[in-house]
Formats: sequence, structure tokens, C-alpha cells
Amino acid sequence: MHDAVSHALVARGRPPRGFDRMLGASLAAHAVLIAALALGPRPATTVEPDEREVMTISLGGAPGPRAGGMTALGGRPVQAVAPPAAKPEPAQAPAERQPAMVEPTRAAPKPKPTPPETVAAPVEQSPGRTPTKGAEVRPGSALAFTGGQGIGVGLSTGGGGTGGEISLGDFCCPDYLQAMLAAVQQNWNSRQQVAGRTTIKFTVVRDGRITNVEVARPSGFAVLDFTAQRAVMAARLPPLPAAYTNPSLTIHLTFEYQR
Amino acid sequence: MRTLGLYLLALQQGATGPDPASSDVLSLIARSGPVARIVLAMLVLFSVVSWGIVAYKWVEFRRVRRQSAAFLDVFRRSTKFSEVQAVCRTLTDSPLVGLFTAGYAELNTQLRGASGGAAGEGRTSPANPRPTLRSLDAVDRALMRAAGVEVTKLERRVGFLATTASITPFIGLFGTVWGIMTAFQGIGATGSTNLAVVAPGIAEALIATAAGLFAAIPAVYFYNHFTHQVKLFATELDDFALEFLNICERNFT
Repeated sequence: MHDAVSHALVARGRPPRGFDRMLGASLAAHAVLIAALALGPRPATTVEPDEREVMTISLGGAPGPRAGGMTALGGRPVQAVAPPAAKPEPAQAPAERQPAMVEPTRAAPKPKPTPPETVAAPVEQSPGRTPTKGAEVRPGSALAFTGGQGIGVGLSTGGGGTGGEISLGDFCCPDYLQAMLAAVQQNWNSRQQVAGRTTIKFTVVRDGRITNVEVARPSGFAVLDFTAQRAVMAARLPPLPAAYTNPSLTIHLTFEYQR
Repeated sequence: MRTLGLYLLALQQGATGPDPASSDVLSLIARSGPVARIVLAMLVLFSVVSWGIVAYKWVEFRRVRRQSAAFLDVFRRSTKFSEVQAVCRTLTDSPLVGLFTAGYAELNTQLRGASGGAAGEGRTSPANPRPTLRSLDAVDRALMRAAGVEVTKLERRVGFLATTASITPFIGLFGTVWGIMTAFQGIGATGSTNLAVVAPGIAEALIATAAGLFAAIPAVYFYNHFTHQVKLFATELDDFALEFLNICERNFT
């Protein structure tokens, strides 16, 4: 059955061409966008080593735990030397128990000799005696000075923002901090004419170079700031230890000057 | 569809070739696992297709608007339907042409059946004997059918934009959740909560969400834009159908 209207409608129903071309154009646009993303300028954050870990250490002041002085080994009690084993005493018969109360005998002219009573009940021992087990090892109160230096430092992590203090145990390599403190201290004279405290911020990169040395908190005396800055710059550090995974280590080092 | 398959192939080749000297985003993608790559490839595919639809519809609607205006101009100035019919061959993209063609075909059929001679001579020329329509309702139905066909054609492929807009955020979210799961497994395996261990996995995972939103946001905008356009065209079609019916009633009854 031929219907002119249906014929016209079928002819009209075909969509306009050109979709494939538009799809190709869209694909090309996406390819250009991705290429621009790939070849475009790198973000600035990759150029500068970011401060993954920031450490605050104070140097100077009285020798002690806060200043890297000599400290007790971790503050833990050291095992005391066991006393020589006492000679075992010869077995002794337990002392006889005294009667709790003795009735005074007013007139006892003639003590009647009584035959010694045979005790049937087991002999009761005097309290407070426990059998010994030989020499005992117990913690002593002595602190051993081993010559090693403890570091009283705290670490704060965080990329330049807030960061909680973490204990030193979480930092992988306290030995490295020791070496660094020693290297800085070599070049530093804490005896200036004035007392003060300055904080130097610097970054140690992977190969041990020290970069970005700047005064984080000035002391108010330019001499003190310069001295501290120079001490940091003159220090030669070994490369960062392999156990430390971040590419750089940023440290806030506080120098305390005494008069 | 065959070209689409070719595009997909090219896309996957592009996605699986990690370039060692690339920037951060691409190196993140190069390091990512198979699930993340599949998710990203799907998102890029959705984005490519939806942008292709956007460009296609944009061009089509612009052409439709221009040709409809031209057609209405011709239609209101001419005195004979046959003149208008001649113009229709050059303005095939306007939906009004479809309406007119269907209405004119119905009109022609009825008039030819009634008078037996050449019909549709004109809307103002007094034919002798004057041709009359048997049923105006039949013309109305033909116009309604044509309007349905035209609106369907206009709405074609716009639905894919809505699909893209609603699906791609979820695909991206899936990729992110999967990536973060992997990152947490990495934390569990290494036993360290160091930021250097966790951060790359999470950054890699978040790329999927970014890509999903990148595909979805334009799709939402253009879906709304195009549905609004289609609504305007449908109003125009209704308006033209009533006008055509009026002319028919005035001249052929």
C-alpha cells in the first residue's frame, strides 16, 4: 500500500551526515589536549625539593639531652651485676618455738624433772624465711655512661604546614643526625658577646648537599644569625642514608648562644 | 561503528604507551595498574564521543535554525505550495521542510483523488472547479506524524550526553576507590604510613575522579542546552503545523 506521507516521512527520517567527522575532530582535540598536558611546563613543585620532613633541633645551651650532650643510654635501667652466689648454709634444725606465755611459778623449790615431751605435731617454723633460689638478677638503678650521645630532638613531619611532633624513634637514622650535629658544631662558636637564640632552616638533599639556608627565626643580632648560617653552610654532610626514603630533609636548627 | 572501533584502538595504543620523559600526570598514569587504565580509557572514550556529539549537534542545530528561517521566509512570501516545494530540496535540514513535505503529500493525495486533475495549484488562486479537502483531520495527522519524526531526529544522540553526564562520575569514582584500596594494600604490605608510600597511590586514584568530572561537566551543560533547543524547535514545529492547517482550511474547504 503506497502512502505518500509515509514515503515522505521515511525520506525525512535519515539523520544528517557528518557525525563521523565530528567524532574524528573530537578525538583530535582530545589528543591535542593530552599532548599539551604531556609536553606542557612542569608544575613548579617538581623543580624545588619539597619539604617532606621538617626537623627541629636545638644546638647549644647547657650540655644535656636537649643539646645533644651526654645522656643516659636511653634512660633505661641497666642490668645490675649479679651478686656472687652465696654459699649455701648448712641445713639447720628449725628453732623451737617459744611458748607464748609462761606462767610465773612463784614457788618452785624443786623443779620437777619432766621428761622431754615428744612433739607429735610438725614443727612450726618461724615466719619470714623463704627458701632462697640463689643469686637473683634485678634491675639496678645505675645508669651506664657509654660515651654515646643521645639526641634530644623532636621531628615534625608535614609539607611546610602543620605537622605533629613525632618521636625520634620514628626517624630512621639518628646516627645521621649525630653526624650532622657534629659537623655543624665544628664550625660554630657558641661564645659570642651576647646571648641569643636563632633558628636556621636548611634542606639536605639526597647527596648530602645543603641548600636553602635561611634564617627562620632571627635572634635580633645579625652576628649571631651570620655565625649560625656560616656554620651550617660550612658543614660537609654525608649523603642521606638509604633508609630515609624522602628526597630531601628539611631541618630547623636552633642555635643557642651564651655570653 | 567501524571508524569508532578504529578510534578505540588508536586510543588504547596511545594510553598504553608510557613515555618515560613525560610530566607528572602522564607518569602517574603510566605507573597505574590495569584497572585504572581501563577506567581512564573508558572515560576518555566517553569524553571523545560526547564531545563529538556536541560538535555534531552544534553544527546541525545552527544549520537547522538558519534553514528554518530561510524556509519560513520563502513560505510566507510565496503564493503557491508548488513554489515552496521547489525550495524544499535546497533546505533539507530544516524540520519545517519535513512537516511541509508530509502535509503537502497528504494534501496532494486528497485533492488528486477528489478532482482527478493536477491539484495543489496554489493557496490563493481560485481553481475552477475549486478543489476541496475531504478531511482536514487527515492533514493534521500527517503533520503530527511528521513532527514526531522531526523531533526524534533532532533528539538523536542527545541522550548519550545525559548518559555520559550521569555515568562518568561513577566510573571515575570507581577508579578512585579501587586505587585507594590498592594504596591501602600497599600501606599494609610495607607497614609504613609514610606519606611517600601513600601519596602516589592516592594521587593516581584521584586522576580517575578528575577525568570523570572532566567528561561529565560539559556533558551536563550541553545536554541541558540541547534539550532546550529541541524544545524550542518543537514549539516552532507546532506553530508551523497550525499555520499550515489554517491555510489549508482557508483555501481548500
